[in-house]
This record gives sequence, structure tokens and C-alpha cells, in this order.
Amino acid sequence: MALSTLETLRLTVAALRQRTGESQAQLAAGIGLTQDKVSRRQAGAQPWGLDEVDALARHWGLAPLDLLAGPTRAAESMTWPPGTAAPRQPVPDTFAAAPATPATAPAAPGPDPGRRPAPRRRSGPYTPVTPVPESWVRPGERDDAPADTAAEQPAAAAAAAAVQAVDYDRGPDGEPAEHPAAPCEQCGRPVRHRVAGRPLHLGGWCAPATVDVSGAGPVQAGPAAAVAALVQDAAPAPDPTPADQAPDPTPTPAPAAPAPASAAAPGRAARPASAPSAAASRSEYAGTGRDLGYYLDMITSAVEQALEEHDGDTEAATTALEKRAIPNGMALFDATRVGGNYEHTVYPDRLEFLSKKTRSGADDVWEGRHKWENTPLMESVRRGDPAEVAVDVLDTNAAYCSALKTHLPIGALVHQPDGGFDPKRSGIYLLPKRPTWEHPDLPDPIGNRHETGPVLLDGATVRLLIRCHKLGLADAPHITEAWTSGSSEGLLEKFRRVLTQARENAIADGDQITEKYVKAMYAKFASTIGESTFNRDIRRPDWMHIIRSQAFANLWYKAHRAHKAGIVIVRLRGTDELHVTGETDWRSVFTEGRLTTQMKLKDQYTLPLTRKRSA
Amino acid sequence: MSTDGWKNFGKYGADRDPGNVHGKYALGRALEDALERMIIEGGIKSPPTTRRGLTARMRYLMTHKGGAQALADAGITAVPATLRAWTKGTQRPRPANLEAIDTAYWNLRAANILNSPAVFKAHLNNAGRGTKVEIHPINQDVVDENRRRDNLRIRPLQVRYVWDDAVDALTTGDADKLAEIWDDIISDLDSDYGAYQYVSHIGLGA
Repeated sequence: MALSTLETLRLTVAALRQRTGESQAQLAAGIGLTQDKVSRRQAGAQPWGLDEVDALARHWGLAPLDLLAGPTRAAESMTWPPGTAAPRQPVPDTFAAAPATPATAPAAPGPDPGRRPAPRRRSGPYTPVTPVPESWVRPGERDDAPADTAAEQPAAAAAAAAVQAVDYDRGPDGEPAEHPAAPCEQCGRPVRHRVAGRPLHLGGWCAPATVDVSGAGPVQAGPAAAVAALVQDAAPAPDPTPADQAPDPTPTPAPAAPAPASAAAPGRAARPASAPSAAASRSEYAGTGRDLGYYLDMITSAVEQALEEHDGDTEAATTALEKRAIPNGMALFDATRVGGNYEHTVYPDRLEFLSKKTRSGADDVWEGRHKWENTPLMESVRRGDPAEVAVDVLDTNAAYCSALKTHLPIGALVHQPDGGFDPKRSGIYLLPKRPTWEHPDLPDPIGNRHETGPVLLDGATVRLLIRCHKLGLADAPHITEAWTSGSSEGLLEKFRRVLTQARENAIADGDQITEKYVKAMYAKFASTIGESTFNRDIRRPDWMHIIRSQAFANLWYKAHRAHKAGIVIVRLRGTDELHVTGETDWRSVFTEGRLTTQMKLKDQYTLPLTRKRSA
Repeated sequence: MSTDGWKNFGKYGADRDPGNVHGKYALGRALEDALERMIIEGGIKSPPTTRRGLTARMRYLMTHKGGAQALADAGITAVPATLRAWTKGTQRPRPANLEAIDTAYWNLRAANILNSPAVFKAHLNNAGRGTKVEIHPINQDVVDENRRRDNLRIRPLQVRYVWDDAVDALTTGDADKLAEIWDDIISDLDSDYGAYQYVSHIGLGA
């Protein structure tokens, strides 16, 4: 997309202003305008004049033509503050990569002021428009390897502990001490505070340095590495947290195989389950900084009450809790929705294909449940090519709990007769024929469906098909009709985090009652939010389908991940079973354990099965 | 923007969508749906082909008044000894009879529930807690563009104390009474309640 000269100029002005840290008012004072005039020019309500371009160029000490040549060029030739040499880092690369109006300026209308600008086309990988790095997290919670699926988020608990050791230098009153503004060693933008005596923004607040900054110390490898390097410098920092990081003699509940993120390992391993410092992380999900204590208390108090009512009889208490799991789960869900952005519809009008045909039968939506076998492998085993194949049966932990993170339609589904897929919507989609799959060694994303005719799929399966298309494994799904509503991935997210954290705590404590209670809550939630007499608080069969399909899709993603690492997939069963074999140990891909991010070894057997049976 | 009721429903095209109806009809339909759910989902879950499902159906038919008549109406001509054997599970009926037993069971269950509105009333009153109602406003896409109301949204509310009258009105087919009840229900909404006199759908949490 070629930008007009004016658009380029607006972009350049925004980028340079961002580089120099000036406000619009400061810039306006420097070029003899008022702030609102600058704002209007940047918003596109008025054009920049040629005289003003000259003034801008003078202001930043560069030639007018350099100013018009785009943000990269302008930043390279800029001298700022006036009289100094050009800065080392030309421009935050978010500006260079995304030719769109940065967030520092109000959204600029396109060339025609009467029309809204066309939506930004995504050609390459997604680049955020704002100058904030895409790995944006709160200070002190940075992690090198951002988790790539919902289930893997707890891994982000990670470097949190290590980074906490780094803090701004503080004055005697405990407030960060203020110094004259100096350029940050990482991003070059002015910073008034010091970290271990050096001008630095803390955490992930600055744009990542991408150009060669030789001579600038530990900056080359990006902010995270810089912060990590600083941990050693700032070891005697007067922060109380380092004491917690001392190696703890208590064994970790889940012995982790060689952890992929070396920074993450010490943080997690050093976290004792019962130490007082663990209290915060026990009520906080994966270092998100959000305290879930109130919701976790809803779970623990229910367990305590049940135990009290049954005089400590664990079995009776568990049964009672499982009976209360649906209403309690719905109460917890409602509590997590307080203050939510969206009010979801709970009793939408019934759609024909979403109502069961018989009382106990299924409706028309295909959920994509897996029942897949690696046929080439099975045939070669039958021929006796490899005489024996040792298979490990892996089990996903709390598959339906993790599947609660999915794009759910907020309102009632609306018929779209033209079909197509809109990533901002979710619902049910009609495909005129079953998508084909031509990879005999990889499971079919549609699951075990033999009929080739028309198929109704839900949002989670369609998203999986689109992912397969992006991976070059299949054609894009052809959707001729759809019933959708605007979607959000956050509707059940807090609910899921509470349940995941409660489950993790229960496992760490060996608390089987809570574990079973939590399991009953998410399992029954997923199975009764459709048409069920046992749960009248919500009637969303579309949600039920999407959550189930998401569980199946998550299993497919795991299978694909293992496949990419050279592991042979033997079978894919139901919601959570992954049968693998091969030279590569599956432990090099998955961590063994009981958390949602980990995989559990459920069983081992040897192919061919007949031999085992006769033995 | 008008927040009051619909003095001339359809003047600006709201009646172009047949799904936009007066709340009394939507309420009646919602009650019928809830009744259907109560009959079907409150019934025996196991299919008649399983032993559990068959014996449960037979027990219902043998112990409830009108069971024998229902069996006869469904075309079962077996002697009482055979019926007892089916109930005990010592003998399995032929597939055709199995089908007839299933029919008889559902007919009897439906008749029993439809003939005792008190059960349905208790279901809706929910021990004083009432039933959640979700009001889906009319589809405004068909209304003249400058005459659309911008304050319509899906309104959830908990409704108590009206269900006895509502079920009575439903069973007697009294549309005026249902309209009165609907007015009563929506007056719990704010000052713009009149905008929900006509709706596209009513969901009941029952």
C-alpha cells in the first residue's frame, strides 16, 4: 500500500515525536503553532503546509526532503537534541514495519475525508500499530518465551521472580529517585529514573533495540536479556524478594524434564508450595498480577463447608460437592463476569440445527471428535516391517478446563446467508462438503467423519481448519452459510483461570477433594450449558459445541507439535489421548506432569496388539 | 427516539419481520417451550432399548393411573403376565412393542404433566425464587432507518409471583390476561419498558 506524501509526513512526525519524547504542545511551541493545530494536522483534518514542513525540518535539524522521505530516513538524519549527532537507533521498528497511523496521533482518515479508512490489510506477520513491543507485559513479569497456547500460560510464571530483583533506584523515602532526564540505554527515549545507576526503562516498557548498538553494554540481546544481565549487577539490591529465590530443599511437586526456558526453571522450581511467599502466586494466575483470591475462596469455603457438614468424611464430602458442582460452578462463573465488558445472552432463540432431534440424541453440529489411527504405520506393522512398536499413551490434563479459552459468540446467533468467515465473530458454519485431508501421518482436523456431504462445524473447528490452511496443510474452508455473533475469547477466561489455579493449588497440596470438585465444576459446566434440565441458568448449545471442539482442536495442536518435532503419532483418541512413538522422546516436546501445561503418561503398550493379547 | 410503547405497531415497518410479535404471544410460546422441556428433559433419559430404560418406562406405566389405557392406545395387546415380565426385566418385548411402550410412556407423561398445571407452576415459581426471563428486543433491521430505537438491548430479569396467573392464562388460552401479565413483567424494567411491549423472542430459565 503506497502512502500519500501527507500520510507519510504524519507518520514521520508521530514517529519523531515519539523518538524525542516531545508532547504535541512542545512540538507546537517549537514550530510556532498551537497544540490543537498540530493535533488537527496529525489527525488529517487539515493538511501540513509547506512552510510548516520547513519549520518542522528546522525544529528537528534535518533537511525538508529527509523529513518527507519517511520515518526511517528522517530518524536517521535527525539531530536531536539540536546540535548533537544523529541517534544510534533510527526509529522504533514498529513504525517502520507498520505503515499505519501510530496510536500517539488520533486516527487519521484516509485521503478522502468523507470515508473511513479501509481496514489495515494484513499481508505479513502481525505487527502492532502502537510503539509498545508486542511482548508487552507488566514490568517485572517479562518472559523470554511467550506461551503459545492457552494451556501453556502458566509457564509465564517464569522469570517473574528473577526480574523482581531489578528495581528502580530508590531514595530514602522509598520512592524512585529522580535524576535529570537522560536517554534510555535501550531505546534512547528520555528516562528520569536509574536502574543500578544506569538510565533504563524498567521491564518491557521500551521498544526493542534492533540495530547494532555496539558499545552500549548489555543491550544487544534486547530488553529481557538486559534485565536478566542486570540481575547479577543488582544482586545486593534492598529488595526482600531475593530471599525467596534461595534454593529450597523441598522437592517440587512435578519433577520437570529439561525445561525449555532456562530462565523459567529456577523461578518455578524455587517456589515452595507452602512457604508464605507462595501465597501471592497461589492466588494469582501465572504471574498475571490479578488476584484471584476472592474466587478461589469461593471454592475453598465450599470444600470446607462440605467437610464440616460431613464431619470430615472425605468421601461423603466429595460426593456432596460433586452434586453441588453445577450451581456452584454457575455462581462462580457469574461472579467472574461481574465487571465484564460484555453481557452475554443466556437464553437465545432456539435454532433448528441446535435442538436435539431425539431426547437423548445429538443435534446436527459436528464437533470433530478424534478417533484417528496412523494407517501407514499400522499397515507396516501388520506386514512386520518394524516387528514391534513401543507406544506411549499421553493424556492431556484437564482438557475441557483449558478448552474454556475459546472464541464464544456473545449474543444470539444471526444467520448470514452469504457465509464467509469473520475472525471477530464466532458461531456455527455450514460447509457444502467435508474438507479433504491428505496427510495420512497427521490426524484429520475434522475428526472421525466419513460422510462427505454437507457438514455444520462450529467456530473452534473452523478456526482449526484455517490454521491448517495457514500451515499449508489443507485448503481454506469453504463456508457457504453461517450463524454467528460477535465473539470474545475472554468470556470464560477468568473462570478458566480460577479453576486452573485452584486445580494447581490442590495438586500442590495433595488435596484430592478440591481437585475432584474443580474437575466436576468444569466438566459439568461444559456438558450442561446446552439444553440441560440440570442447568437452567444458561442455555447455549453453541457454546457447548465450541468448547468441546476447542478441546479436540487443542489435542490436534498438540499432535501437530509433536509431529513437527519428529515424533510419530500413532493414535488420537477422544478429547485427551495422544498415542506416540518414534526415536524422539516425547519429553523433549512436552513436560511430564499433571498441570494443564503438561502431559501425563497414561499407559504404554506394544504394537501389534494381537501379539500382546496372545502373550 | 421514543421510549414509550407502540401505539401503532408497524407504522414504520416493525411488522415486516414476522418474528416481531407482541410480548403476550412470545410469552405464551416461551411457556410452551418450557413445558415441552419439562416433559421431555424431565423424563427418562435411558433409551428404551436398554434394560434400564425399558424397566423404568414399564414401571411408570404400571404404577401411574392411566398406564394400562396408554399401553392399549399405543397398540400393546400383551397379557398382564407379559407386562409384569417386561417390568421385571425377565422378558424383552419385540422391537415393535418396544416402540409402542416408548410411545405410551411419552404420551402418558405428557398427559400427566399437561393435566396438572400445579407442577408446572411450582417449576416456574422455583420455591419463591422465580424464573429468569431474557427479553430479546424486536428485530429493527426492518424498521425505517430514522425510526429505529437506539435503546433496545437484551434485558435479563428475574420474574416472580406472576407464574400462577400466566399458566392459568396459557391453559385457558386467555391472550388478554397474558398481555396484562406481560405488561406487569416489563414494568419492572426502567422507564423505557414500553419499548419491550413487542419483542422478537423471550427466553425462560426453566
